[in-house]
Amino acid sequence: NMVVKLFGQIKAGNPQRVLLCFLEKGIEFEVIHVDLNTFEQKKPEYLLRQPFGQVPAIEDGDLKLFESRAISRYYATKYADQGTDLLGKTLEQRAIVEQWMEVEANYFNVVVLPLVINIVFTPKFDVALVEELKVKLDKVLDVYENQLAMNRYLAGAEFSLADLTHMPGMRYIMNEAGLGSMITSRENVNRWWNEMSARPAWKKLMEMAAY
Amino acid sequence: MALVLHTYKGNKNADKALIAAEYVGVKIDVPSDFAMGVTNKTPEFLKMNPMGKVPVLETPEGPVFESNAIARYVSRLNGENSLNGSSLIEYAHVEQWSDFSTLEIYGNILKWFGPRMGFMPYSAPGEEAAISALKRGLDALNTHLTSNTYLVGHSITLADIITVCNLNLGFATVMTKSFTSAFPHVERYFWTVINQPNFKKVVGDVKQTEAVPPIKKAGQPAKPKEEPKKKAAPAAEAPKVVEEEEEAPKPKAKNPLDLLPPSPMVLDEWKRLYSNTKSNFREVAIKGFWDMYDPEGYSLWFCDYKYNDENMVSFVTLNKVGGFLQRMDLARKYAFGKMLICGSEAPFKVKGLWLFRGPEIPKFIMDEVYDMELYEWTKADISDEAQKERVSQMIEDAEPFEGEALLDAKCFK
Repeated sequence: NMVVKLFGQIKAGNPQRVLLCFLEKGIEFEVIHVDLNTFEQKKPEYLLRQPFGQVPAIEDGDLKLFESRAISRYYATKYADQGTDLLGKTLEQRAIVEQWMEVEANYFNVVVLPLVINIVFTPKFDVALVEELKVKLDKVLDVYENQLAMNRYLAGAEFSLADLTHMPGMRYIMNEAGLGSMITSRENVNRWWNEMSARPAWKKLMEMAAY
Repeated sequence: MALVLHTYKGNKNADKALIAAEYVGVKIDVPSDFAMGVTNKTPEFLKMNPMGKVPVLETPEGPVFESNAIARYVSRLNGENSLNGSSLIEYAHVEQWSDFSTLEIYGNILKWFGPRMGFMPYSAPGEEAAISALKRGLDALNTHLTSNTYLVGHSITLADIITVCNLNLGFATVMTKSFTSAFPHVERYFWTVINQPNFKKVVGDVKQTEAVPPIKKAGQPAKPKEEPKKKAAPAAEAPKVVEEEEEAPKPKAKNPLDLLPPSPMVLDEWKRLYSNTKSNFREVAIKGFWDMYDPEGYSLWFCDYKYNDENMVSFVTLNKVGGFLQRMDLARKYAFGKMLICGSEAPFKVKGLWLFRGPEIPKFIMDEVYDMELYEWTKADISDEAQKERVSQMIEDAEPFEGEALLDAKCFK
């Protein structure tokens, strides 16, 4: 079977990053469910795929990869001529896409991940920490607000992997984490989220996730 | 000979050529002594444009009128650029959207806005037809922009410059947020394009009108063609923006500050001393200031921005202060100010020092400049050595100021 296998849970954020990439590029895939509720990801068989015991991981013929951002980059590059162009048409444009992907990992996710874990998944969360993280997220979103005042998408005129990589985290912010006002209060970030989440690939992913 | 553009300040049609000039890297002079209704009625002007309308561009080879034609000419100066598309079909689409925008967008905005300002006779069915036609045009534009960031190709072309300047007239005068919210892609397009650096340089800060201007009742003085243009009101006052004609000026009240008893201190002398002192600033300029300062005829004020926690991005903060100083233009005869933007990282603190004619902050400034209420104002007590020293430090851009580095210091003079 030549179709890429994705190991993970469709409702989980990081697998969604890869699934969204597949859907935007029109890449066929198969999801092998790894049940996070029963800690299947920590079992020895899975640790062979991802040594930290986290999802997603992929298997594509002989190629095995983990880290959703690395997987997305690989498929966006391999299938550059198929589906949505996620990396830009020139090396320089790709550099700008990569720049904002780094921003997602180093500024956005570092704040959003603990926020979501605390608010959504931790029974009695650290209130002071959450407040501190919200202040930090405010500062990050202010930078985005400015960037998106002059640019339709983060890396410029076109939707790219830089925008896509934010979408699973943004979905948590808007939904379970109850922080939607941080987005809706910012005209340009709000517009950006509305445009991205209206994309057919995103709608298909939401259908698959069946929240 | 440089290129000279004759227009009144804030003419959205003139912006097209000026923005194109930023993109192609060409200098255009805009004489500041242009007087609407006067300059454009002279025989010399009518030789350039028999309609007596603005803008008109003077080139080494002769004049050009019609704002779109001027912009097209400018777009072809200075060699290759992408303003006209990169193929014949792209060029055709640039012309397509420029014509569309002129007829369907600008034409209908004018038919809505013009009668309300008294330039043309008002009729309710006429306005309704114009609004309906405008909506049809905006709908078509919105559909195109759903899957296109720019009108043609993947970057700014003359079509975007012309269209956004046309939209700007609408946004400034009759198109409120509730009207444009039916066209979300047009909104996104307008705001992201008008915030591009080459646009911002020309148009400055843009605010969407909050209300449609009321219909001028019959009999209201609307003799715009005869009246000379007053000193340009700040562009931020959207309902006052005029397309080609001018509101009849109300009888001009004398500024109460002109009626104060004369003062030995002459503001212009201080401004000259400030500007010309290149070295030994403290010994020459600051000393000179305190020597000439007249506490009876003038007053000194400290201001602090009330919302410093908003100042997270340096250039946005600097723009805010720049906008404030632009809007203070009407007070230039009566004020001198220094605005310090403090801090080595966000949030930045904005602190100001102002010298005003008279013992109080002039009422006309409080009324006309909306930024004033964004600041806390305290009168400086110069009998207090610490406050006097603070005044001196703010005039001389002392760094560090109150323990902090200065991101920037802007002077109003």
